[in-house]
Amino acid sequence: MNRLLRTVFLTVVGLFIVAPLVVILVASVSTDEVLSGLPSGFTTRWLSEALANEQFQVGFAYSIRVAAIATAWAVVLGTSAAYAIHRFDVPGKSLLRSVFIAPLSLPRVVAGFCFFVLYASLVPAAYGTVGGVAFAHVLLLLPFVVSLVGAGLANLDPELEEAARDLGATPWQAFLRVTLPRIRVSMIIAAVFGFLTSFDEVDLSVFLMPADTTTLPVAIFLRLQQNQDPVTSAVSSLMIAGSLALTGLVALAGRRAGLFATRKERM
Amino acid sequence: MTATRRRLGLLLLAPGTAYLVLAFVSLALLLVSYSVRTEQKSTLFAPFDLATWRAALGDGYLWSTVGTTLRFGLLVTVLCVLIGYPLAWCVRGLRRPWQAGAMLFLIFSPILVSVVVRSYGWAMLLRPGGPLGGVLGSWLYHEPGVVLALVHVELPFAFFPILAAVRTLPAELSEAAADLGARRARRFWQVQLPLTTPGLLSGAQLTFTLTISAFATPALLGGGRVTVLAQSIYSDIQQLQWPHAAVQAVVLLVLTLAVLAIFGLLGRLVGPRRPL
Repeated sequence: MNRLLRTVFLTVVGLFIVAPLVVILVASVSTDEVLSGLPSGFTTRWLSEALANEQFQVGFAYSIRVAAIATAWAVVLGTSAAYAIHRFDVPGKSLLRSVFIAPLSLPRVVAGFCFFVLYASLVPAAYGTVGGVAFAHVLLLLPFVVSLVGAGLANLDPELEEAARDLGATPWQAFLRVTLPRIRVSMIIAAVFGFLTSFDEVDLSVFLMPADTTTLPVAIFLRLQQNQDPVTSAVSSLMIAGSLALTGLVALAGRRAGLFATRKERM
Repeated sequence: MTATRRRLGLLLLAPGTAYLVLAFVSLALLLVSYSVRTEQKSTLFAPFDLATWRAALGDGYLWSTVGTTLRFGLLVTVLCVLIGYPLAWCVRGLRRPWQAGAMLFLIFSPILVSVVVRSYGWAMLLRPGGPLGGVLGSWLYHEPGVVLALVHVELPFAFFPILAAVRTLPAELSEAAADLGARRARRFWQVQLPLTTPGLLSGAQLTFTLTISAFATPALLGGGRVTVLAQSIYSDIQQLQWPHAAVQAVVLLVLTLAVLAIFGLLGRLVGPRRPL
């Protein structure tokens, strides 16, 4: 009875979680303009229309560039900060750690508004540019990088690096040869998660770009405010597929590298 | 040697800290400076003036928006905890690793999908003629639809902190309580629930702060009929009412900080208990 109840509950919650995603996937390959139940036929028309849509193409390229630049910045800034906090005798460690995590609690809309005002009144050249949007996204990604890389460093014995230095390696060599390979996995997870976060971001980005050149999710958002059509479902499907494929790839690569071995033990 | 290492550490910290200081300080200054100006032509140096604050605080519109925002925050948080708490126990109870892994990925996966896409999915499910349109037809563009979609968006953020607490709870404690004669309900209320409350609180805190600042979901599922602070800030900017937007942004920020403080206080009340 207890197990039955649990199975029913898990199934209901599972359906609740996948329902909105499934309906989009189905609508994007269904011949019906408005989906009401099971699709009456199968077509790739919407998908090819979405792929050919210039607004979406521009948005995709824009999103990719923003996410790549923001991720690169955040990984460099966040890793060096996490490394300094965990390995060096710097003052105010716990304060620093909470300062780097603090942007998580900052409402994205407030951050978006502030960056908008900053760009509009002081740096007009940044408004609507890839660099300007990416610069703002770094604020959202830094907490992930600092906490994930920090966790990786915390699991690592600092004496390994000291030994390397005692054997004559410079601090830079010791970091590159000893520490970096061992925190690589945390950095990759932080980078992938950060990339997806930046790529999918709406609440902050919507303030930073004019309506004609925007990231893909903002383009979808602005389009949805006008009307809903199967082409929007199709581009949404492609985004879902892309996110899941990227995550799947990383999970697979991680499993091969033995990434999840420790996590499984804990379960 | 230690002096050079210290200098090296500070050097490594400098770029990130400089970025955060630049972002935080300049953003805070701009936010406040805009809220105390009436000038609408977006100049930084308009004269200091509290008229925008006075007008906004005296306006019923701001208060009704704040009310809607907080109501959503409360409703979504309660619903997410009511689903997330038993969900965490169910996932803990899954014995086969692949089952637990699959369930965890299922619960985590919405985070990987854009909020816009997920909200659009709910709009499609709920719209007239849509799969749920017949049963829940009146929900789209009204509060229940917004709440439903927000619960979907925030559930993972409530679930994972709760799971962390539930998972690290040693099974021996419940067994010991059972050996001492405590029945199931009593074991739950007196052992399991109190020990997992910190996780529950941090999940609720995260859900609450994320919900009150949510923008895309209320905008897409509220259809302009339901207005939360985030939307109001956005539409003020589009209408070039920056000072009014700044006032609302400050209000949203203060609400967020208040929520963080309240949960921090609650956490301290239930946190360091005497050992059992």
